[in-house]
Amino acid sequence: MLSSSVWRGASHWWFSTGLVLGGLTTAVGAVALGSLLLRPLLAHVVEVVAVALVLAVVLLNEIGLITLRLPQNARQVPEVIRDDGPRYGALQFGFEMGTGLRTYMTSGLPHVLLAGVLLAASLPEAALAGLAFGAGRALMTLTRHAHPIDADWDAALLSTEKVLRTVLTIGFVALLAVVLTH
Amino acid sequence: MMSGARTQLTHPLTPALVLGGAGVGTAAAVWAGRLPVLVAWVVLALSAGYAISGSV
Repeated sequence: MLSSSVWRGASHWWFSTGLVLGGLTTAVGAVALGSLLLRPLLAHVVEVVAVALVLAVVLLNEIGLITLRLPQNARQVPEVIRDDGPRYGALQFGFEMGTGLRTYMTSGLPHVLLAGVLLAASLPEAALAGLAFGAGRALMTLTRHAHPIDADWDAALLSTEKVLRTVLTIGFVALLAVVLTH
Repeated sequence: MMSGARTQLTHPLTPALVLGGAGVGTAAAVWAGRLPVLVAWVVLALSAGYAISGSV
């Protein structure tokens, strides 16, 4: 998929913009949904416990103690988007992936983030988290684009994936503990 | 020399190490009251976004 036409020329910038906008859209939607429907019914301690439970399930799943297929819409880039060209097509593809609603989820951390935004974030926190989620996804695109040899980057990702996820998870858990207790 | 440095800088593990370190550091700083919790949300979401980096 990385050799898709949406990656040619300057399309990675359009794709990255789409990722950031998609992340913002989902986060604002989630915080609105949580604030209007869930939080009025739940005590703060219940919200914290619920997010911690999602984290526990994701961690157990990631280390293989349980096998659970987390909700995801694992779909490839549709032809209609590729046909829309290197700008609008890349923007649309990035937006859909940035929302998290059309992507392969190779990690459960976004599910935990969504639970946190849904139950614990304020509107400014959610908006910034959404933008940052898209930026985190775009970081891969831009890093790979800047790497001298694409195939080497792919091989490096494959060989270091476990370390990469472990390091990210350690930081993620520390941060989640802080945002849930503030 | 330049190419080696660039390769290290754009290695997929480099952003993960930076984000992991920033995660622990930011959590500690927010805990100590030296950074607003907003910063923790940003680093948290950056990490979650980069965690699914192989999925494009």
